[in-house]
Amino acid sequence: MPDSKEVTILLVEDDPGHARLIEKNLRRSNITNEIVVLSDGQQALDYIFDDSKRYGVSLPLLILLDLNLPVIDGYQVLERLKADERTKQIPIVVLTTTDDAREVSRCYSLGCNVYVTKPVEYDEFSEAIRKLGLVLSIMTIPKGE
Amino acid sequence: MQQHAHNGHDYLEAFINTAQYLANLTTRQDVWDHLGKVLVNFFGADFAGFAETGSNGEIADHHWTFAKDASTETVLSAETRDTISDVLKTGFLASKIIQAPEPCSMAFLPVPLENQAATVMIAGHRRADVIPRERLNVYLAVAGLASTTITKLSSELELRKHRAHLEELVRLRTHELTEANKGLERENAERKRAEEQLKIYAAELEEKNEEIQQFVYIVSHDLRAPLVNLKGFASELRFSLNVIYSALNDAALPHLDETRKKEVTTALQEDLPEALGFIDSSVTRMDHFINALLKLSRLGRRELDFELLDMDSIVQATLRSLTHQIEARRIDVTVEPLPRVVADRTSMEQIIGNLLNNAVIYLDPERSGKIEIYSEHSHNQTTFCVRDNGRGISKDDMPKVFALFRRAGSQNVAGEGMGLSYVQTLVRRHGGQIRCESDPGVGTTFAFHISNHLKEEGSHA
Repeated sequence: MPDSKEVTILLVEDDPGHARLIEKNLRRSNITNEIVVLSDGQQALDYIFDDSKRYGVSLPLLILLDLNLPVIDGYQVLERLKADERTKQIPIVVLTTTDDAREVSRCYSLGCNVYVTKPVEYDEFSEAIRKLGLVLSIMTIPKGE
Repeated sequence: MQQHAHNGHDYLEAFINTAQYLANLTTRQDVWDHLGKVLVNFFGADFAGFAETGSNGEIADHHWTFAKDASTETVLSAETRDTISDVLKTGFLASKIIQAPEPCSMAFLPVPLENQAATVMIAGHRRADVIPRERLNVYLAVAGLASTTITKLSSELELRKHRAHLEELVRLRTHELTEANKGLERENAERKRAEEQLKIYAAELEEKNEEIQQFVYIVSHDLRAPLVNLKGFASELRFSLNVIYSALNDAALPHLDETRKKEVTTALQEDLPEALGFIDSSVTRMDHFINALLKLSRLGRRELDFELLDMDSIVQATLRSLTHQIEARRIDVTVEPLPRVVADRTSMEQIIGNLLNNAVIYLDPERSGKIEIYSEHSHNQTTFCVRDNGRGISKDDMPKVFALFRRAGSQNVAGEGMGLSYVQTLVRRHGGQIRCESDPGVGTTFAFHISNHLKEEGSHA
């Protein structure tokens, strides 16, 4: 993907440990894109909708979204982004500890593109993120407007 | 009552008047009183009276009536008494001339009364002539009228008594009914209160249950997140450790003296990996517990799908999956014919699977295994039993049998200690209960019952 490097990865994750582990493993699978880590849903929405909060970083974006977030939770972020004409094309990967079938289907109903469960077993965790990195590296991301 | 009757026509008229007159009387005393006056005033008797055998066996006379010019004293002579006795005995009228105290002709007329010693009506004339036949007949007719009237009165009295008795009965019964009704109303009100209280409890229970489910669910997720970090960073540490060790091995270690070298090597190669290993295995255990809790909470929330199930085929399918162990250990399995029940298929498979699996793995290796599966049916519930001759469960361990994460007896069999908790949850959701009876060294019986009133295609959430 010639333009994949220009894509910013927005990691919305309130657990700094998780964020760090995700970032480490993405880097290990040769993802070199800029990764912006935000720790709650409000910050994520501000980042996306408020140009002044973006510190010059431009779209296109790819979002890795946790569900259990403070202020505004992952579901609400998902709902807002997928309901808005300007942002509904942004690929959203839900990355969470939950593997409850109802939550998975709720996320897909709200328009999430990929749902990944964080395994507790670190080997599996690394493997999951590595594979996600592989997918991201070959994904075509719509250009920002 | 002024005119004396003297001919047939007059007698008839007097008789009709008498009948009408008597019809209005209400007591026997009135009848005797007025009948005497009627005989003297209408029918021309000089005196009239009545007599019967009293309760002491003596003849008792009463209600004498006399014409104006007649004496007001009558003493019954011995002859008169005898005649009265005869008439009472025979029931025939008698007509006599009695000498004492003065010569009189007297007619003695029987007044037959139903269920009663008869009375004799006496009509007398102060003449020594025999009373003519015609007049006797008239007197006899009056006596008949008296008899009819008295009988009518007594049956009326009976009727009144009877009616009063009936009314009293009705009053009593009504009272009893009213009391019973009041009791019923009270009972109903109490039952209603109890039902309402039950409803409140049920709602509270439902709420509490919901809270617990929610709690377990949330805790399970929130507990999991830190585990990812513990595991992740322990691995990262191990990774870094290897980097450090190989660097030290190449550069620094060769320059250290043997003691130091050994210390550093032990720390890097044994102590640190051991510590990381404990962190890792503890987190793994923690993760298993959390997963088990999650499973249990999901089990409590899953919609059950009740359908008509052939328990025989479920048991046979479970036994087939255990064929290998059953044959290897030469276990003797007996299955009595089992009924069809309305239940959730997955639940029944899990319950039967757990119980049979437990029966198989906890057999006593010292003796040949025996497992029996049978059922008992009652109106409200169906009970299924799995009996084994395994190692049994000691009394002290009994409370642990259905407890979460607790395992009884020697821990030489793998398991997470969740099976029977699941089973209990599933059985309860089928409106039933599970119990366990065990004799250490003899065997264990697990019996669970499910309600017979589960509805097909419905769910008891």
